[in-house]
Amino acid sequence: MTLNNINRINASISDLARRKKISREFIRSLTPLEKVGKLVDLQRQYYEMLLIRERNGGPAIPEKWSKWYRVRSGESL
Amino acid sequence: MDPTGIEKVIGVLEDMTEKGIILDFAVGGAFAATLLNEPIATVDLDIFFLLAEGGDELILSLDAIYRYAEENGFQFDHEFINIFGWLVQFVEASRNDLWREAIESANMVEVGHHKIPVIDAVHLVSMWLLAGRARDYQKIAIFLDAGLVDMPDLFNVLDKHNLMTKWERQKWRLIDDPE
Repeated sequence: MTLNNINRINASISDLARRKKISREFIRSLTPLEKVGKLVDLQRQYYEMLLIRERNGGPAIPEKWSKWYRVRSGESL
Repeated sequence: MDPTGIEKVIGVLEDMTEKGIILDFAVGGAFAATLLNEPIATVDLDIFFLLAEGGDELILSLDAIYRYAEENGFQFDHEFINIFGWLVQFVEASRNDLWREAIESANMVEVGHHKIPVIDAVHLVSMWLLAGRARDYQKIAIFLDAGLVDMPDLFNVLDKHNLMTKWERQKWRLIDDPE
């Protein structure tokens, strides 16, 4: 690996860390109610990830997350 | 405006306290971490609570809670009660000194138009250390990294609840430079 490549990789990592810090600072500055809204978004994304994993031959969606999906969809627990 | 329905859930918890179903409660777990710091994916809302005393004897079951749920049309299944689309888990805390202390020292946090008791950062970290699963250690590391924990206070609580040895054993994974 050349010195140029190493420098480029280091710069990318620094940039990623900087953007991650900005994103975290933004999230932490939200009100508790807004954070709950972000939590719900995160739950949806997490469930989607579990669903994709299952559809691609990975482990089944954990029962508690299936329950989460049912109650969020207005179905019975 | 509360599209998540969480304010209605808080209203139910307030109602349960007013009706004496539970004596005292505080939000814990990843939901508390979300309110105090940043969202962490969690399936449920953990409520640590102390049961109301009935006469001279403590009611040592969740019967009153399940009865309340039934009377108010909230479904339940095993550990979860579905309250307005949130899976709420009630954890009875009276038999664990650390949990009891965590409820008693909780801080009120404003969520929309409600105020709700939330377990403070020091007690959350202590409870996660006690639980000791990989995801608990991750949450501790996030809290320490965010500077949310008063370390002398933490060490006082850990010492009081005999968790200092565990801290010493695990701190390599919790802080960048443990020494």
